[in-house]
Amino acid sequence: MIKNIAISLLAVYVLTACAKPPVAEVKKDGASATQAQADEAAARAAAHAAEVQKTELEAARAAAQAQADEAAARAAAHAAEMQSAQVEAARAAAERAQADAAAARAAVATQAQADEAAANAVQAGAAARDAAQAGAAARDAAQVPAARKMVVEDSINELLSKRAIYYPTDVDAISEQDKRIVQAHAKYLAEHQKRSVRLEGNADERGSSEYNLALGQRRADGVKKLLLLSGIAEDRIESVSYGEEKPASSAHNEAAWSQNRRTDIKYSVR
Amino acid sequence: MLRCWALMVLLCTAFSARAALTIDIVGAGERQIPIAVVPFANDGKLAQSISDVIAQDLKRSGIFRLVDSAAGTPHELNEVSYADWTNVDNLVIGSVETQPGNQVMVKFRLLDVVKQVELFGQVSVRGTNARFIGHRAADLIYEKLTGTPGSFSTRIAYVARQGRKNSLTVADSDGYGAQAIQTISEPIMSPAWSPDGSQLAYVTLESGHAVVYIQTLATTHRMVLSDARGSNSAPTWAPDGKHLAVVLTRDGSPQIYLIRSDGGDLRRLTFGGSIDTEPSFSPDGRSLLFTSDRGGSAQIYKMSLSGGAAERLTFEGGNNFSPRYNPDGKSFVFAHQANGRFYIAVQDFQSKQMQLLTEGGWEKKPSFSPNGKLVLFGIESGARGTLATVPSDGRIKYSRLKDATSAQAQDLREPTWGPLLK
Repeated sequence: MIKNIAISLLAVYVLTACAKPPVAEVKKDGASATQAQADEAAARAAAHAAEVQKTELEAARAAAQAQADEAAARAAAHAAEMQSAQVEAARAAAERAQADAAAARAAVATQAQADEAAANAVQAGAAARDAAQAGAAARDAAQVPAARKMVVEDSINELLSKRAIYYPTDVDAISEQDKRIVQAHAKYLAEHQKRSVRLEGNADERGSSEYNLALGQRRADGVKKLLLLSGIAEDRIESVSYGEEKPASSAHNEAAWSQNRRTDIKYSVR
Repeated sequence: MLRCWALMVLLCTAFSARAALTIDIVGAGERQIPIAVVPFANDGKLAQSISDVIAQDLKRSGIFRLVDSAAGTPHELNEVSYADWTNVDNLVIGSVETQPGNQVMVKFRLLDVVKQVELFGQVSVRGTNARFIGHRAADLIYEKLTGTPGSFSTRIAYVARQGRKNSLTVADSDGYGAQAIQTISEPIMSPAWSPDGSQLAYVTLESGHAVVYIQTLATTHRMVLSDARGSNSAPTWAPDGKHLAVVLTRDGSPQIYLIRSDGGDLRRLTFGGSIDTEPSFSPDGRSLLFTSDRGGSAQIYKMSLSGGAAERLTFEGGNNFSPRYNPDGKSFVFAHQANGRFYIAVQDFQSKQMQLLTEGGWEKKPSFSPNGKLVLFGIESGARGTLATVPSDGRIKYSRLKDATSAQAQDLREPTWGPLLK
């Protein structure tokens, strides 16, 4: 069960971040990667979309469960790491795939890629699952037009451009939809190690000021929790609450309240 | 005619009592004691009429019906003709003297018109603050006629907002004499009086997150009580004056902790994964009321400080917030939210019946007067908050406190009633 959660979580990551195939992500040793590999990676992610789609429902359920029980999620991550043998298999498959794909323009992997790979280390378990198909998929992917990659990047940028998570009344859980936004920010943070993030939770004016301060903190901490699960170090995340004290809209109606039930994601340089 | 009216009041009262199980009465026609406060001799020479302060205090209590002194203006006992005052039960007469050094002395008597006797003979109150003298006199009259000490000569604290400016403010119980004791450009929340009235704990966002401070009124010295990561909030003093309950998120969800007033000896009191906030100590210091969403919505719970499971106390309406113990320990007041409105409500621990004290609107943050007879709360209409008091038995509709603080409109919020001054 725990293993399933871990795998499903990783599947969600793959779906939402959508950038690299698992084979690329296990490449955490900073070995050389090529542009062709990157292309192939994105394309292969697209090729896998159908399969990932299948697991999305299960993944969503597992993610919710994991959020409700962080300890279980941590255990799951731990379990994933324990599957080192499988990870090794995945690594081997990945190397085969790379060899098949191009083996031409060798380029030094960027620091960002290395960092990201490190941050995503816990997700290596997913690679094991895909290992068997990796080689063939990579070969197929190499032939997919580069245009597909641009589409994927656009959606990431669109997610990254969203700097606020909104909530229904008296709710601090992040919607499945908005988890993609947080995941995109997790990816960004993984790629930009010098940046840190401040999460500012807010609430509408209904309820007492103290309850709303608590609710805003729960909202900000929920986003923080998801970033932590994505491998972002805790010392790069600050979560605070303004409660109902700093409304984005000061009107007294649902239109204003819906704007005020919010966690703002604010970046700073460390 | 008068008797006829009195009978009607009695009938109304009887009807109200029966209906109270299903309908919540606001401003019900309880019998009020008719009383006249005759303007004191020389009172007009002061900037502030002391007899007017007394009359307003008594009126706001809901216990009294103020009758104009149409039957002359006696100041001394030998000037009173009881036959002229059959429309009142009690009569207050007196005089004001100004003395060197801005001292004001008021001498007054309380008379029982029905028995035609003095309830107390000449009482003198002296000081430099005319309004405060009036509040002291009103306390004495209130106690003599009701058997309960008055709470008029106490103070309240609240937050006044004007643009980005936030002022932690202390004022008399009727809203006069307001003084800002801390002004910053970030939000201030949750002022809480120390039991001796010498200090206020409160929360500000000035350092970028919620931090709890304690400020000594006399010296304006301020110390940080709790500045853990996340939010530090909802301070409330234990009756011993040596500890406070606070709400911290240092270990995850907002939970209640006990902390010594010097910031030491932190001890966690609740151990859940949901929101626990707004603690209020019982008068004996052994229990806490608090707001929690552990049951899926914000409701009020009670827990013992010696351990054991918390008991849910509110079940009505959508949500319930901001519980405060009645100083007599027998009931609590809170903000009740239903159908998009906030009401001030009280609930008896024994009967578990909730009674609404207001008609509903945007009424929040109630707190009891030290004698438990009045409830102070914040009321918002439009974008502006004001303060109001209502008798804790709901016998009359609430009275808004006069906002004498400034000519410009301020947004007043987070009121809390201070203790009896020793």
